Amino acid sequence: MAVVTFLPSGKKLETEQEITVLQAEQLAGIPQDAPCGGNGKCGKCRVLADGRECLACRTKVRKDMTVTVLSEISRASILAEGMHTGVTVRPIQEGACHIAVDIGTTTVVAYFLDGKTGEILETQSTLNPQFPYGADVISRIQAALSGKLEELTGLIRESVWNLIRKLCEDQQKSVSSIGTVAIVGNPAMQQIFLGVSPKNLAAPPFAPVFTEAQERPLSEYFPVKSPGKLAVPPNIAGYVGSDTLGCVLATGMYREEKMTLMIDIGTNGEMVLGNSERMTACSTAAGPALEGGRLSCGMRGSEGAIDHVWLENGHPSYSVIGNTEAQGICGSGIIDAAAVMLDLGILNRRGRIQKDYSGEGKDRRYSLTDRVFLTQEDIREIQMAKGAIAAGVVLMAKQLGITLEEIDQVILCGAFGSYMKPESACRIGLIPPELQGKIKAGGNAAGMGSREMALDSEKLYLTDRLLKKIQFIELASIPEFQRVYALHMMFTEE
Amino acid sequence: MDYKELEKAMADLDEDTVLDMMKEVMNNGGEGVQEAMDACQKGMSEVGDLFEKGEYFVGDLIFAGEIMVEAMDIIKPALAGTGSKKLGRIILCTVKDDLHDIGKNIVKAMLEAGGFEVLDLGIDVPAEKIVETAKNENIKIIALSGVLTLALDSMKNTVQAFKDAGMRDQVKIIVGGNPVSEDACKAIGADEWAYSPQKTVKVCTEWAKELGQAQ
Repeated sequence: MAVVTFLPSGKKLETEQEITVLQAEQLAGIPQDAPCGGNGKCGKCRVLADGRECLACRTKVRKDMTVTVLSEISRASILAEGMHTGVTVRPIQEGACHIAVDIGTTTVVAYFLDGKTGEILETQSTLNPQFPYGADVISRIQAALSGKLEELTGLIRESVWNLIRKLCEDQQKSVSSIGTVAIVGNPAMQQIFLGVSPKNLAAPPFAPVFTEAQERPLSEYFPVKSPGKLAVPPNIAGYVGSDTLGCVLATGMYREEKMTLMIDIGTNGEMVLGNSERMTACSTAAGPALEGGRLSCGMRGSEGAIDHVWLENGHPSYSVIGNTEAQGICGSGIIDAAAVMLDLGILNRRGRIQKDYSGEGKDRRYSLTDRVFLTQEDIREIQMAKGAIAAGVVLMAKQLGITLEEIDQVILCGAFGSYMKPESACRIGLIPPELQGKIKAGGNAAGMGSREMALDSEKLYLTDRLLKKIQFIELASIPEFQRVYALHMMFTEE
Repeated sequence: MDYKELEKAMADLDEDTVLDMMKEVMNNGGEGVQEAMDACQKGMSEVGDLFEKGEYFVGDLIFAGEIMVEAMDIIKPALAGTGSKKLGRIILCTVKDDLHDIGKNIVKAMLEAGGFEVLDLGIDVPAEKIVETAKNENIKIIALSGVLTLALDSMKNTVQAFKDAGMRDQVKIIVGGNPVSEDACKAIGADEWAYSPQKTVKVCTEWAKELGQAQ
C-alpha cells in the first residue's frame, strides 16, 4: 500500500493499486487540469512528485510520495515564482519556524514555514468557528456589536492556535520556538481576532482602524511564553483588508510595469488594478453565489459537486468532483452552466430562463441532472454577482484612465479562481470579454502574501508604502455606478 | 407618433428607440409631449408588472429607471406647465447610516413615472432633516428606504422624530428595502411596508387620493 500526500491541501490518499498520480488526484477529489485526458500531450497536469517536476498522467504511484499540486496553487506562473524562487528570510522575530495565517470569513488557513529557508512545510485549514454567528462579514459585525465580541475573539484565537499547535506537533517543533506569526484577513476578521470592536465597519464612513503595519508580542494573543511576535499588516479600507494587501504582495503586481488586474473572489470581491506606479482598489458586494452559496443546489467544491459543464454535440455534459453521483454544483460549475445556458439560448439577454424549463414564474428551473438544477433566482444571484465584479473592473479602469485592452494580465485569486474556466467567466461577463486570454489563476495569494510578511520584515513594512500608492474607490459613490452595474448584470446573446 | 410603440419600447427596455422618440417629440416643438409622457409611464408600469411576475429582475428595474430619467430629461423643457405631476409631492430618501441608493432610485423613477413629484433627500439622511423638510414643504407622504439591518433602527428613529415633533398623525410613512418585513414595519411604527417598487407606487397613490392631494 502506498500513501500519497497532496500539498498544499494536506489531503492524503491510500491506494493498493498501481495507478497514475493523475488518477490518484482524481480519487482524492483534486480538480487537476488535464485537457488532453491523461495522454501526456498537453503538459497541463504538471506536478512536483517528491520535489521533482513531472506529468501527473505519466507518473505511477509506486511508493509513499508527496505530490505538490501546481494547478491548485498556480496555473499562474507568478504564484509559482513566489512559492519556489528564493525568498528572503529576515523576519521581525527570528525563530526555528514561522507561521502565516489567512483568516477568511469561511475558512482559516495556516502555513508552517521553515525558519531557515522559508519553505512551506505543511498547511492546515479549518472552518472559521464563528460560522454559527452568521455566514457573512456583516452578520459577524452585528454579533460583535451586540455584546458577543469577546466570544467571537475567543473562538477565532482558539481556532488559529489549534492550527498552529497541530502544525508544530506534526513538524516536531515547540510552539515557543516560533519566531513570527503573520495574520492577514479582511478588516472585520482581523479586528475581531485582535479584540478590537468592529463598530467602525457598521456605519459610514467605514474607516479602517489599522492604517500601518505593527508588531505585537505573540504572548498577548496565545498561551505561549516566548519572544515570538505577531505581524499585523494594515488595511486598505473598511472593506478591503490586509488579505488584499497580501494578494498584491504575492502577485508581485506592485513591482511590475505591466498593468495587472487582481481579483480575489470570495463573499466579497476585492479587486486591485494597477502597476508599480499607481494602483486603485475597490470592493464589490459579489455575494456568496460564486462560491455556490445561497443557490438551490449550490455547494462547496468538494466531492459530489459538479465542477465543470460544457457542450458536447450540442448537449450539456458535466464532470463531478470525485467521479461520484452529482449532489450539487460548485462555483466553477455554476459559471460554466450559465455559459452553456447562454450558448443554448436557454437564457436570454436579461437572464430570463426562456426554454427547456420546468416550473413557472420565479420557480422556473433548468435541470442538469435528476438532482441538480438552476432556478431563475439562482441565475439572478449570479447576475448580481457578476454585474458587481464587472462594473468594478470597468470603473477602476476608468479611474486610472486606461481602456480594458490596456490591462496586460488578470490574476484570479482564491480557490474559485483556480478552478474556474476563464472562457466561461468571459462568456457570462463576470470578467469583461476584452480580457479573455489574459487570465491566470493566483491560488491562495492572500496566504502567500501572509507568508511573505511572516518571513520578511521589509515586506511587512512595504505594505505601509503600498497603502500610500493604492487609491481606494467607493464604487457606490461614483454616479455612473448604478448604470454600469445594471448594464453588466445583463448577458450578451450569441 | 406611435405612442403604443413608445410604450412597448419602454417596457422592452429599448433605450435607443425611447430616446429617439423623445427627441422626435422635441423636434416637433414638443407636440404630443403629454401623450409621450403617459406612454413612458405605462411602459414603466408594465416593467413593474414584469418584475412582479419574475420576468424582469432588479437589474432591469435599474435600467428602466435610467431610461426613464434620460427620457424625462429630454422632454422636460416641453413638459413644464403641463401639470403632469398629478399626484402631488412625496419625500423619499435612504435613512441615516445607510448609503445604498440603487433601490431608492428605482422607486424614485417608478414614483415619478406614476405621477408623483419626488423630493429626493438622498442617502444617509438624519431623522431631523426628514421631519424638518416635511414641515417646511408641507409634505404628507414619506417613503423611507434602506438595505442594511441597521437601517431599521434609523427608520424607527425617524418615525419617533415625527412623533416628537407632534406630526405623526399628519403624515403617512412607508418603509421599504431588503431588511423590511411585516414585523419590522410594526416595530418601526410605519403605516405600510413594501417589497417591490410597484407596491410603493400603489400604496402612495391610494394615500395621495385619501389625503386629497391628487388632482
